[in-house]
Amino acid sequence: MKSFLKKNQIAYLFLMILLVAFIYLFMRAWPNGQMQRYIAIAFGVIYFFWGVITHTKSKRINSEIVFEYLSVSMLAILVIVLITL
Amino acid sequence: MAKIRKSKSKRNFWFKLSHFFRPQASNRYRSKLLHPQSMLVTSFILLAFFALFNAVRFFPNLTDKVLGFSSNISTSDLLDKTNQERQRLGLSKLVLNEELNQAALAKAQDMFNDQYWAHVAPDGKQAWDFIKETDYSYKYAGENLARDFNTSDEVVEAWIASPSHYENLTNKDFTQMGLAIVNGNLKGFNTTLVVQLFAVPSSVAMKDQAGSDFYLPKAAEATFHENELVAGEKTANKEIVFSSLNFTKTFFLLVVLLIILTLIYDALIASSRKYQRLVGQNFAHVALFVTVAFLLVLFKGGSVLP
Repeated sequence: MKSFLKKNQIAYLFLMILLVAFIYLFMRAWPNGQMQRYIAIAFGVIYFFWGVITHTKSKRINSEIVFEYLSVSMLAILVIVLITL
Repeated sequence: MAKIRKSKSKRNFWFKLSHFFRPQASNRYRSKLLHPQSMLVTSFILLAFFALFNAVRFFPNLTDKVLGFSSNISTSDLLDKTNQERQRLGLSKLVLNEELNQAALAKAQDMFNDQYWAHVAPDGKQAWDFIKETDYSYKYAGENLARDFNTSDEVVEAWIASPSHYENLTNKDFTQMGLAIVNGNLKGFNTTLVVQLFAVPSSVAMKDQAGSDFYLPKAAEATFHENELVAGEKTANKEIVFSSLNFTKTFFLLVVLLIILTLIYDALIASSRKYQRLVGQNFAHVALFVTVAFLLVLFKGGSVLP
């Protein structure tokens, strides 16, 4: 895992910026629940593509990994969407 | 014989538990909980929990007894905080008007009676009709609505955060305000509705920027969470049994924390045993779920209607 982190430093830096931006935008959108849901969905989709692209670049990809990022993104989106309903 | 069976079932239990949380041969060296299929099952569990929880509203007794509701909102706080914001901008303070209070109360009660959440009632009754019914004669008027908030601070923060509400809140023309905080059941959910009316009495000579004598600012609405029936009270203050939002948040948070801990444990074991496996990055998943947990904790509820 450490070597993967080292090799993908820029990708992880990008992810951290995305996460901070997500928190900021989500909090800023309150009390507009609909906007918060859009932000959560957009971020979930970005996270999915981030995972797939990062693994593709490091040539450590298979269908199981794609499915894993898809299910993780869906779960994260679902939690946020349901709480804002 | 019974002892052997007991120890076997005990072993089975621990095996199943470790199968779920510890990377080992039985789960292809990846905690079963982290498999995509398990993640989907978890999603369905959350969805089912949410659906069931919302179905509780069809059982009013259960909703009242178990999912009580708490809000601590008072007209004096709302007035103070609204005026604080106006004074910050150098605007005049608003004063409460009893007729506008009555109009706000009538509007809130009408929403509970006819079960709607909008500026215009299903029968076409407009916001200003409630003001006219009290014989209050206004030059300009505006309305802010809120529901599902817990405190006066949250209500005013939400109005400030929403541009259309903020426009009403800081309209330099308004001089008087009416407030009503009413608890009741709206479409199966116990909630507190807050109605805030603004107006300039017609006796005050004033013209809007366009020069017309009559002008109603764009109505604005905000959203709220929880409570019980005390129509007409000036304060909605009730003991918390357990608010529906907090209950949902707690359950979701526990699930997210379980996933975070499993991800960390899985990474530690795989790293210490030097397992060679092709899986997603635990570190990225942990970062994502920590963010989700953080947002769950900070989430205040309440929203503004588009």
